[in-house]
Amino acid sequence: MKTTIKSRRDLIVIRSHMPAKYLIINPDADNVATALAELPKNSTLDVEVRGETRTLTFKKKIPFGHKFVLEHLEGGDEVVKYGQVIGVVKGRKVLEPGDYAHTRQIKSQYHRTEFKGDRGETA
Amino acid sequence: MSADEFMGYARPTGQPGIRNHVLVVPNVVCSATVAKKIAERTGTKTFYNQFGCGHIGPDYRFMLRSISGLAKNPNVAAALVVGLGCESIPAANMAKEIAKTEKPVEYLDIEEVGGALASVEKGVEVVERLKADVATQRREAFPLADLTLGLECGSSDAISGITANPALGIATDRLVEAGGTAILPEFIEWFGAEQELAERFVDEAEGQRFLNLVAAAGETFRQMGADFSLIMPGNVKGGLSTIEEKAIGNIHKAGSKPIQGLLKYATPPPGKGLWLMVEPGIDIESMTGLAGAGCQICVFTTGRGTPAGNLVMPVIKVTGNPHTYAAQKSDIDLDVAAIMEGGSVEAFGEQIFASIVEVANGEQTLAEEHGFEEIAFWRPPYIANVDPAIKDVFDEYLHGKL
Repeated sequence: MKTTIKSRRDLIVIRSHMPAKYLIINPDADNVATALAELPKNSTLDVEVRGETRTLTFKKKIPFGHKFVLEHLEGGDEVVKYGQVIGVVKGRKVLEPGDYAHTRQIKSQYHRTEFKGDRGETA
Repeated sequence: MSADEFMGYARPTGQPGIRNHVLVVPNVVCSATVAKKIAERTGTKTFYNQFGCGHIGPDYRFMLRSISGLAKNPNVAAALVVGLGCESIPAANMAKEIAKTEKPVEYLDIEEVGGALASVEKGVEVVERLKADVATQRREAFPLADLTLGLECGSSDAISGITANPALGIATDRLVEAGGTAILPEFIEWFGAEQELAERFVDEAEGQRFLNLVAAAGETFRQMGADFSLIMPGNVKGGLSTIEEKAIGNIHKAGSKPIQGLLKYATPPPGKGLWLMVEPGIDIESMTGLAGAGCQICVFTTGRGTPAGNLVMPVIKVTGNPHTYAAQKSDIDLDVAAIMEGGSVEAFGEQIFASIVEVANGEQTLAEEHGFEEIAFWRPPYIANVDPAIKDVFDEYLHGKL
């Protein structure tokens, strides 16, 4: 399923074909998936990553709604969901496909829109 | 009634109501119990107003607008303001503000009437008269363009952003296409998605003003020593890891239409279409502001569940989390979890839209059925020690003219 996402409508088409146990919202860009069922510790799951089926083993339980990574990521690497950067991998952590990605593994890199102190002029 | 209409109650000015409430407005905390007794005896609506006194300057205008907004909401047919007599916002001023809608409004002051018990008797007499007037009103057909929808989400989890929020986005788009209005509140939930929102403003300069407000809010947090991991423990349990992740999922509720502008809290939009409203992101305060802005109806997407409703504005609750629905069926009107099993987001969006019309026509939401009628006013920060320029931006959006 290769689709370039241009609008929310396109996102929605992809969502209409959700598999049962996990979801990759933007399969072209995302490097994390969302568990749509609890994925038990040490269980395996066939996951389609950019057209290639990979068997992932979960070293930790992935609770319902939580994320696991789809590719090798290291400290400072961007974490992409919805086709958008939602944070970076923390410190010197190394994450492999199937590893849990939550607040201990990834962090926000939200930069406030810089306040310039006058109306209408914003960085 | 045709497919693009709903059955509502005509009002002398402004949009029609979808309910025909008589509201007893406690003008100040000192009169709240008298108001409660009047409402209990007459079977009408009221709330516990913790405020109403000591408001000065911009705060006076803010509270006058916020309290009167509930009575000005189109779902309120008539109102009685119950004051004490010495509070900073006089009941007469409150009644005058509400009367701008030309709906029937009366007021009494406990100190004038002669004490609490006499005021209850007097209030009951007035409210019975208002009720009799209102009872003769019948529903009439109005175009869907006369609806204003509030977009709320609370106790979000990682499922909200892929199920309930995009489905609500479809319904929002449908209403806006029909010529209606929708309001997205909660600026804390925009942190991390503000650039995307700013690009959707019809007016580029207004988009820049919006970015500046988000920046000013961020700067205020920074000066207070707070970081930006403003997601709540429940969000983290639900699988959300960062504020960006939450924001991107959250703004799906607002669909894909252009943004007309930014509204002050509890302020009706000056035109149709999609609007943003300044309010930090606390569910009940946010819905009180939406009701004050004239939303006749609200859809509330929840990941982890909530009993919340609103006194004057019916609230349809939607979850995309099957566990939440299974555990809290009595609180959740719509379950869209089947989206995860391959159900189409469009189809569920249409279902939410159909529910909006049904509730507009008079069908009760679960919160209405069970009497969940929460009201809480946002108390904006009146910060003296911050950079005057930040204060300036806040003042403009809290109190300034649109």
